[in-house]
Amino acid sequence: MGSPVKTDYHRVYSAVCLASHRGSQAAQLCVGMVVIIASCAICRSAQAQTLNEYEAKAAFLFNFLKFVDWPAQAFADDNAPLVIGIVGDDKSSERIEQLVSGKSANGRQVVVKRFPSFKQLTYCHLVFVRASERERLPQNLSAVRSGSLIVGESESFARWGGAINFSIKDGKISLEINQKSAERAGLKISAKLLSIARIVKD
Amino acid sequence: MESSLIASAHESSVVTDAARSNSLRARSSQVRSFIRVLAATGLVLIAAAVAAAQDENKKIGRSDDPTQLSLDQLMKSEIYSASKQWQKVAEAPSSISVVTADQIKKYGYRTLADILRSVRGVYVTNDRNYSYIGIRGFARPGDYNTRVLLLVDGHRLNDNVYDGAYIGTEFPVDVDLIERVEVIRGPSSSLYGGSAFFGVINVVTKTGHDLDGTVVSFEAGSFGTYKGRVSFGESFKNGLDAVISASFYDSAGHSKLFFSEFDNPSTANGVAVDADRDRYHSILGKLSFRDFRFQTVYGNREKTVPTAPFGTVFNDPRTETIDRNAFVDLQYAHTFQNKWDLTGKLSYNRYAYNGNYVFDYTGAGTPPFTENKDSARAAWWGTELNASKKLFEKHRLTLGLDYRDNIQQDQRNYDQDPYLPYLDDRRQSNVVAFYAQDEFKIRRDIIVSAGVRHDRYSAFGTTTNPRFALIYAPQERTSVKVLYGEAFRPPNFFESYFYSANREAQPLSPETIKTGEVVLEQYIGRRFRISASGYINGIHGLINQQVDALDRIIYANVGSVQGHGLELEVEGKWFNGFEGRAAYTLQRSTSEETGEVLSNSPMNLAKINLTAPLGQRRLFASFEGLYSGPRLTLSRTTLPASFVTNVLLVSQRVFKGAEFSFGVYNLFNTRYSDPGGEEHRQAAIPQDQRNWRIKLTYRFGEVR
Repeated sequence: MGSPVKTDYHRVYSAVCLASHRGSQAAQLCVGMVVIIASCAICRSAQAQTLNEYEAKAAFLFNFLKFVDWPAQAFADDNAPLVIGIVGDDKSSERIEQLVSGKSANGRQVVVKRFPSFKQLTYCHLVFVRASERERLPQNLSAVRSGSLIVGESESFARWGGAINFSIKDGKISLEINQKSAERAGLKISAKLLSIARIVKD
Repeated sequence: MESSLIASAHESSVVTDAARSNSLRARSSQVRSFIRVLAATGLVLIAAAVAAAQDENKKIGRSDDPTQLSLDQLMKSEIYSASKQWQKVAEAPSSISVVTADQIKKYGYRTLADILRSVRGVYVTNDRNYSYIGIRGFARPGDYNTRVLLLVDGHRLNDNVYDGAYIGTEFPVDVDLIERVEVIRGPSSSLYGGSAFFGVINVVTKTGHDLDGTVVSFEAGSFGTYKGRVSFGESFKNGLDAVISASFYDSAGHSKLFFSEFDNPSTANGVAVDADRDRYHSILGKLSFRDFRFQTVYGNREKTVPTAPFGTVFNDPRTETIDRNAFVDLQYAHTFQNKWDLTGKLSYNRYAYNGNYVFDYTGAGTPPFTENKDSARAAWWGTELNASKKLFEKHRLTLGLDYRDNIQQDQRNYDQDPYLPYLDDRRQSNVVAFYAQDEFKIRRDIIVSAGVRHDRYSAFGTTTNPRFALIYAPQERTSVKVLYGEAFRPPNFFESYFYSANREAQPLSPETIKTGEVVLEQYIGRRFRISASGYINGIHGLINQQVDALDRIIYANVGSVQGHGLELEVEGKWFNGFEGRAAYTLQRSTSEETGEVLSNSPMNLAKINLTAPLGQRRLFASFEGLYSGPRLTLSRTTLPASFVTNVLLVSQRVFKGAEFSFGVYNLFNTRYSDPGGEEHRQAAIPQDQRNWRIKLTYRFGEVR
C-alpha cells in the first residue's frame, strides 16, 4: 500500500474557508428573516381562541350534563346534586374539579368526586375515566352501574362500552359517541350533542 | 485484510501528531459575529414570548370560565395538548428532546441521521458510508455509534460485534413510520446497561391507529434517488392493532466525486465515478392485541464506498459495505389487580455485515486487484422482565432482569482470489443484569429518583452503575433537575478480538463516564418552553488504538477525557400551526493526557427550526438552519464553521388523500466537510451541496 500523504489537504481547506465565509453572510440573512416571520406569527396568533386540554375537557363534561337526560330515579330528590366521578390518576383531575364543582346545571348543583381506581367507584351520573385506567377497560366499564354516562379519553374507549370519548387531533378536540352504550345505561343523548360527534358502534 | 488495515491505520496515527490550532483562532472572529446574531435572535424570541404570554393572559385570562363556552365554541377551540408530552419530559430524570412525526414530515427528514441533526447538542458526521452521532462534543473517529444506545420501540438495536447503532440509510426503519424520536441525554446505564453512555435514542414507531388505512408514498431526489413505500395500518374493532409496511430505496449517488487527496494521474485524478450508490429495502410488521405485542423489523442496506478507505483502490465501485439488521420481538405487558405493572420481552436478533474491499497489493496500479472480504455475523436472544409498583403512595419501585445470550459473534476476513484467510473468529458470550430504581415523591414538588444496575459480562466481568436525580417542580411550569449518573461502554468484540495482539492480551475493561448535570425547564406563557442545562463529563479508560511492543495494532484502555458544556433551547408553538425551536450548545472536551481539544468536537453548535402555515393549515413552509463551529480533524487541521440551510414546502391535502412535499437541502450551496476517520486518507470528507427531493403520499379511501 502507498502511504497516505496529506499535503493536498491545504488546498481544499482554503477553498472551503472561502465558501464558508459566503455561507455565514447567508446565515445572518436567514436569522434576520426568521425573526421577522416569528414576530408576525406571534401577532397573528393572539387572535386564536385557545384552551388548555383540561379546561376544554372540564367545559365539555359540564356541557354534557345539559345535553343528556337522566331518568328521575337517578336522583334521590329534587335537590339532589348531579355527581361527576373522575376515575384514575392525573394531575389535571384536580383542576377539572376546581373548574366544574359548585356550578349548577339543569337546576342542580354539580358535585365532583375523585376515585383512584374503579374499585372505589360509587354511583355517579357521569363517570370520567382518565387515560391512566385504560388497562382492562372492557371489564371495568361493564361493571359500572347503569344510569351512568361513561366518558373517556382513551383509544377505542367508545367501542369498549364507553358512551363518549375525547380524542385530540391537530390541536382540535373531537367527540366519539356510542349511542348504544348510552341507551344501555338508560340515558338519552340530545340530538345537538350527537350532531357534533362522530358516531361509533360497538 | 489484517495486514492492510494495520498498515493504513498505523500511518494515519503517526500523521495525527501535527497540531495546527492557529487556524482555529483566525476563524474565531467570524464565530463571534455569528454568536452575536444568535444571541440577538434568542433575546427577540424571549421578548416576543413574554409579550405574547401577557397578551394571552389578557385575552383568555384566568378569570374567564371555559365552562361557560357553548358546545360549538368548544368544538372550534384550539387545544393545547402538547402539555402531556412536555409534562412527561419535565418529570423525567434526564434532559430529553422529542422529535415528532409531524416535525419529520414538515422538515422533510430523510433518515434518522437527519432527525438527530436537528436535536440540541447533537451533530452527525458522514463519511459517505455510515453516519456517526456526536453528542456533547464527543464523536470519536471510527466509532460506529457504540456510545449511544439505539432502541426501536424499546428494543435494543446495537449489534453484538461492533455494538454499533445504525442511523443513516442503514437504519432499518423507514422514517415515515416513526411516530416520535426521544433523545435522552446523559448516562443511563443504571437502567439500560452498556452503550447508554452519552444517551439513549428511542424510536417509537406508528401504530395501526396512527396509520389508519393503506398509504403509498413515492419520492424522487437529486443524485438519481428514488424511494417507494407501501404501508397498511388499522386498529380493528376487536382491539387488534396491525401495521405492515415495506420500503425500497435506490440512490445512484454522485456520478462524480472529487477527492483532492487522490488528485493524481495514477488514481483517476481524484475523481470517483459512479462509486456512491446507496440502496436499501426494509420491512416492518407489528401486531398488538390486548397485553401482547409482536414486532418484526428487517433492513438491508448496500453502499458503494467512494472514499477508498483502508488504503483500497481509488475509483473502484466494487468496494462496498452491506449491513443487514433484523429482529423479532414479543412483548407482554400487564397491570395486575394488585397494581404491579409487569412487562416481559423475548426477542431474537440478527445482524450481518459484509464488506468488500478492493486492494492493489502489488502497487502496480493496474488489475488484477485483490478483493478482500470482511464480514461479521451476529445473532442473539434477548429477554427482559420489568416490574414496577406504586408503594405507600409516594414511591414507585421498578425492578428488572435483563439477559442477553449472544449465540453468534463471528468475524471473518480473507482475500478471495488467491484465497488467503486472515481471521476466522467465532465466539459466543452472554450478559445478565439486574436493576432497581425507586422514584420517591418526598413532597408534592420534590421527586428523588435513584437507580442502580449490575451487569455481568461473560467476556470481561462485572460492572455496577448508579444514577441519582432530584427533580424540584415548585409549580407546574417550572422544573429544576439535579442529576448524577455513571455509565459504561463494554469493549466490543471487534476491539477485543479483531487484532491478534488483542486476542493474546488481557481482556479490555469497559470505558466509564461520570456525569453531573443541572437542568432547568420553564414554560413562558402557553406557547413557550425554555430548557437550559449545564453538565460536566469525566470519561476514563477510553479504548484507543495503539501499537504494542511487537509493533502490532492493539486496542487498550488508555484515554481520558474531560468535558463540560452548556445547552440552551427555546421552543414555541402557536395554534395556527406556527412552530419554532432555537437551540445553542457551547462545550469544550479535552484529552486529559495532552490537554488538547478533541477532534470532531465543535465548541459551538446552533440550530433553528421554524414551520409556518401558509393559508388554512393545508400548506406549510419549514426552515431549518444548522450551524457547526470549527472542528479539528484527526490530523489536527481545522475545518471551518458551516451553516447549512434546509427548506421544505408541504401541502397536507393537494387533493383528497394526497400529500405533497418539495424540499431543498443545503439551499445556499454551502461547501463543508466532516472529519474523516483513521481509515481514510482524507482528513475531511466533503458533504452534499444543494440537493432536492419531491415526495407524494397517497392515502386510500380517505373520507374526511
